[in-house]
Amino acid sequence: MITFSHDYTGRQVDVLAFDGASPSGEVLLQQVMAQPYQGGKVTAGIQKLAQRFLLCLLTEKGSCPWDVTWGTYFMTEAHLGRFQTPLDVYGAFSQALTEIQTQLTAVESETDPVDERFASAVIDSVAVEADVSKVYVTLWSRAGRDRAVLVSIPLTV
Amino acid sequence: MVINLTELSELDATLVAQRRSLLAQYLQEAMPTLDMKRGVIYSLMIGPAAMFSAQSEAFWTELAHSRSLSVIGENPAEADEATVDEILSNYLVERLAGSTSHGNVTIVLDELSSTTIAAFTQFQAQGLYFITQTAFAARETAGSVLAATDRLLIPLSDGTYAFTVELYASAIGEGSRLKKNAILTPVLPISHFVKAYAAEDFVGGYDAETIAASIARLLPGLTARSFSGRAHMAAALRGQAAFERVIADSIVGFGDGEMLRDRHTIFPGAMGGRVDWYIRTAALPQSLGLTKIATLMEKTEDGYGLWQFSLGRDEAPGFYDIPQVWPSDSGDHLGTYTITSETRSFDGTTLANDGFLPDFDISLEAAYSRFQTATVVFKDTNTPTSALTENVSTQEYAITVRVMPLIGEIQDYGSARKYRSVAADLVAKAPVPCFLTLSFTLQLLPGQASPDVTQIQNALAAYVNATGFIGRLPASKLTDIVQEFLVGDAYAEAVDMLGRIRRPDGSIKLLRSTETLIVPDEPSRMVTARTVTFFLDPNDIAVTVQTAEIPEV
Repeated sequence: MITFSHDYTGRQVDVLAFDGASPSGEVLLQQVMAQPYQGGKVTAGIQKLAQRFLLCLLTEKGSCPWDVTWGTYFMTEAHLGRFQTPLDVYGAFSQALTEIQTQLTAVESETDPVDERFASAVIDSVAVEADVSKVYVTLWSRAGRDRAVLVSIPLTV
Repeated sequence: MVINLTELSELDATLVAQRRSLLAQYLQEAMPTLDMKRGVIYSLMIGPAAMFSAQSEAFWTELAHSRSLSVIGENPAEADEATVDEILSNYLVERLAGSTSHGNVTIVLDELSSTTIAAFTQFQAQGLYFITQTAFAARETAGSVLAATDRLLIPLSDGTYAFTVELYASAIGEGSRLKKNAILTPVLPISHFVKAYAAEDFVGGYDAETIAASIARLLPGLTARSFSGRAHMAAALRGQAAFERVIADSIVGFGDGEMLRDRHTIFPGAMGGRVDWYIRTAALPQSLGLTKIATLMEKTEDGYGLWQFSLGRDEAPGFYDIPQVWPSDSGDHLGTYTITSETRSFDGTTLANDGFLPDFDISLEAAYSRFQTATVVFKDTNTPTSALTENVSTQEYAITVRVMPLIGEIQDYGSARKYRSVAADLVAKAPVPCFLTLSFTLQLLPGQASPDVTQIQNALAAYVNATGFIGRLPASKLTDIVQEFLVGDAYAEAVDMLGRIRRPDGSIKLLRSTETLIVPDEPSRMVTARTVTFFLDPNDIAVTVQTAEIPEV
C-alpha cells in the first residue's frame, strides 16, 4: 500500500527503506522494505534526504561494484573495531561528513525541492555502549527544516 | 567456444556508469514520479542492473570481436583463441601447433668400443634438453651395422671415434634450434665419452602460430588449392602438412623477365609453359654436415694438392654454398680449406616418382633447384701428396653445405603427376640469397643502462628473416625495431647494411647502404625483387654501445 502525503504530491519519490520514523521523539528505525502485513512505502522530502544521507554514510566506499566511489569509510572504521570511544566515532563521522556532502550535492540539481537538498549535518551526541554505538545527528536541508536521524551501529569487538 | 563473463569487479567503470545513466533515463521516462538519484531505487535496482547490463555488453562485444575477422586482425591479442580457431576452421585454416627441433649429433668416444645410446637418453645444450627417440648402437665394424639405427664408429685423426645419433629437443619453439657444432653434454655418463656436437643445424622447432599469423593465412585457406594461379599455388603448397610453415614464395612464369626456361626456341619471344617457384621455407639456410670422398686432382708445387668432390642433386637439394671443407677425421671444427673452383651443373635424369624432368638448357636455369649439382675443387694444405697419385688417391672430408630445407621435397610434390599442372613444367627453387651483415651504434644518455644486445639482435634477425620477396630493406625499419629496446632519448645511429647476393650464376653482388638496400633488377641473371630474399643471422649483427657525452645544463 503506497501512501502519499498531500504535501508531497507531484514530487519524485523513492522507496522507503528505513521505516518507523515519527515527527518527534527518539525512534529506532527499522531497515525494511515493507513491514509484515503491510505494503512498502515511498518517501520524499526531508525523509528522502535523510535516507540518502544514511545510505551514503552506511555504504562502505569501494563495496558497491557498480559505483566504487559511492559511500564513506565510516562503516569500514566500525568493522575494523576502531570505535572504542566516542572520540573515535566523532573523528570517523567528521571525515565521513565531508565525503557525504560532496556526494549528495553532486547528485542534486537546482530544480530539486529545497527540503530534499542537503545543507549540513552535525553530531549532537555519541554514546558507545556494550554492543551498540549510537550517533545522534541533526540533518539540515536547504529548507531549514530538520529531522533527527538515529543511527544504530553494531560494534565490532 | 570459451568466452568467459567478465568478473564484476573487473568491469569497465566507464561502461557501468554509462549503463547506469541510460537505465535511469529509461526508467525516469517510463515512471516520472520515481526518484532516480541516489537512493533506494538507485541502489537496489539501477546499480545492479547497470552492472549486469555492462557485463552482458562486454560479453557480446568480445563475442562479436572474436567473430569478426577484421576486428581480430586489428587486435589479435584480445580475441578468444578457441573462437578464432572455430572461425579459421570455416576457411580450412588451422592454427599451427608448436613443434620441437631435431637434428643429427656427433658423439666422440675415446676408444673403439660398441656403445648403445638408449632411447630417451638426455643431452643438454644451451640450457635445453635434447632426447633420443630411439636407441642407437655404435658398432666397431661395418659388418655389424645391420639395423637402421646402427652406426659405424668412424676413426678420427686424434685417435678418437665418432658416430651420429638423432636428437629431438624436449622444448617446443624456435629457441630449441641448435646451430651446427653446438656442444652437447649427456645428462648421464656415457662410457668412453669425449664430446658431442651438432653435426648440422637443427631444423623444425616452431613456436605455436599466433592468431595474427593464422589470419594472414586466410587467403591461402580460402583459395582453391591447385597448380594454376599464384595464389592457388601458394594455397596448394601450404595445404600440405610438410610445407605449412613456408615463409614466402614467389612464382616466376610466362611474361616475367626472370623466366629464362620458356625461351628455348629458335623464335624470338617466350613460349610460356614454364614455372620457376622460389620458396623461402626457413628463416635461415640450414648448415648441413656431409661427408664426401674427394679425389686428388693435381699435386701443387708446395707439396700439397688440389682435391675434387662432387655434390649430387639429392645430397643437398637447392644448396647455396659450401662454407667449410675439412678433414672428416679431425675433431676440430674450426677452419676450412680454400675452394679454388666450383662448377654448378644439373642432373638431367628423370625423377624417380613418374619420370618428370623439367626443361633445362643451361645450368643457370637449374641453380638452387633440386636438380642442381656441383663439382668442387679445393686445396688441402694439410695432406702431403708426394706419395699419392693424381686421379687415383682419395680422402674423406667433412663439408658444411648451406641449404634451404624442403626444396627437394617441394619439387617432388610439385612434380607428382597427381598435382602438377598439365600445361607447365615446374621447378622449385630456393630464393636467391642476399646474406646480410648489419652494424650500428647505440647512443645512450649518461647513466642509462645498456640494453640487452642479444635481444636486439634476435629481434632484428626475426624481422628480416620473416620477410619474403620485398625487394628492398630500409634502415628505418631496423632502427624502429631497435628503438623498442631503448628507453628515454637513447637512439641508434650509423646503421650500415651490407648485403651479399650470390647470384644463380655463382657471381657475387655486394649491396651496401645506410638507408635502403635495394635488390638490383637483373632479370637475365634471375636476380630481381621477385627472386631474392634477405637473410640475417643474429651473429652477423655488430652492435656498438656508446654513452653520449652531453654536458649537464
